[in-house]
Amino acid sequence: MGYTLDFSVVWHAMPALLWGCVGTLGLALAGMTLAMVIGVAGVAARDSKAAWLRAIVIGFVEVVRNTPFLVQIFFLFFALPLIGLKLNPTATAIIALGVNGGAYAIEIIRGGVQSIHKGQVEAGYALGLHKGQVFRFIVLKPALRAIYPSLTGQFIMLTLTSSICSAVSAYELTSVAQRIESDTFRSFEVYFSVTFLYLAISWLLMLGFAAISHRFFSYPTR
Amino acid sequence: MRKGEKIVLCGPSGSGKSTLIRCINRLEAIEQGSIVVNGHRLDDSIKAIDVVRQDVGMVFQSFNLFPHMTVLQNCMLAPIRARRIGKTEAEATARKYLERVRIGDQAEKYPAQLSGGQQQRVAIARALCMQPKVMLFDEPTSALDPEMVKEVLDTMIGLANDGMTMICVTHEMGFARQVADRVIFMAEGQIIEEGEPEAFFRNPQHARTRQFLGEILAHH
Ligand SMILES: Nc1ncnc2c1ncn2[C@@H]1O[C@H](COP(=O)(O)OP(=O)(O)OP(=O)(O)O)[C@@H](O)[C@H]1O
Ligand SMILES: [Mg+2]
Repeated sequence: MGYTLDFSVVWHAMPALLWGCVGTLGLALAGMTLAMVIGVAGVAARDSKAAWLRAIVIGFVEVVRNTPFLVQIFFLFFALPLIGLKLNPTATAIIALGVNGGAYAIEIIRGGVQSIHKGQVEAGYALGLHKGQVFRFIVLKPALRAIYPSLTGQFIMLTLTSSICSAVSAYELTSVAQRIESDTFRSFEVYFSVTFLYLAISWLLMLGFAAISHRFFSYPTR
Repeated sequence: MRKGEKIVLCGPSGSGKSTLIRCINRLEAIEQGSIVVNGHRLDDSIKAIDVVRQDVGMVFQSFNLFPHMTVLQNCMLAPIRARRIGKTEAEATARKYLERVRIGDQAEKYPAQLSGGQQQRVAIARALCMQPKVMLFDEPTSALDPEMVKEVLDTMIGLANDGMTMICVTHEMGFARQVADRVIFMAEGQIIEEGEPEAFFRNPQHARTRQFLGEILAHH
């Protein structure tokens, strides 16, 4: 029984697929932003004087990094309404991606912070700056520069992970693809094309990351 | 220590020179005794530490310039964030002190683009921008190539001649002779001997001091 390839369905569905790409990019960018906020705040809290705050951060990282993303997003999807937070699937997906990415970002950024020479911190204190100011103005940028490749790699991961958000039918590329597939039964053609669309999304993001690096992290070092 | 006084601290490695001056701006915790800076007693309160750090400038052996900021930004950060002065005023002050350490033309460069001697002069200017009452130097020339030592020492001599109160950890005995009011010799965490430079170098009282000076002079 021969299977004849027919990419015309993909061609007809291209506008929908491209909108799916936009959905994926939107989820990814919003998720990265949230992950970045959680990452930086988490690193600051991880070195706080308050033991309970450090414990919360350690516990958070431990739980998130050792449980599956699919379970995390189901948990949020069904648990948040129980505490009175009714969110649509896309908002839930953004929170799940941000929380998951944030836990990894904490570990990565923390590595960057630890790579900063302690003389930098002492110079800041000697100039009369406070702990928070030293972190924000002296440590953060060189720390981010040091771990930029791992952090952006993690963010590409986050983007690809967003396909799992189709499980709660968030609006993104994989859920669009599933719909087209079930309408047309052209599984191979659809997922073959979607593979390339994800590749294109990843490349686009890498270009963006390179531009950001050029803009903010290109100061000379020895 | 008097206002305007210049003290040179010397002693073998591990004798506690860095520890002593780092206690003055509380980079190191104090175990015993007390330190009073410009009338403010240094205790563990954040407020006391703040007040004292505003009055005390420090220059490190390893420069510790901020690599992601230009020379000018290095000099403006603390005045803006800690002293809360305006940007325009901070820039004017920064340019004035950069001029004074004769590096005004490098203001827009990044630290990595400067030589060691230039970086250390920027570090001195950066500390001066906070208008400190005392300047602490922890072996400011020992990470430098020999040909750059002089430019930094000359900057420090200029500062001394302008009346700055200074404590310098250094083994540059020529510098000590030229500017110090007092030379203090430390070993094993204790002050062993102190005196005016002429007397200190010509006629050291303790065997430990004589041995140390012998080693230092043999090296130079
Ligand atoms: N008076 C003191 N009280 C407590 N600890 C001290 C004292 N003096 C020295 N130490 C300890 O000795 C060690 C070396 O001291 P420090 O780094 O200040 O020496 P140094 O004279 O600056 O040496 P170097 O010339 O190598 O820079 C430190 O770990 C410090 O804690
Ligand atoms: Mg030392």
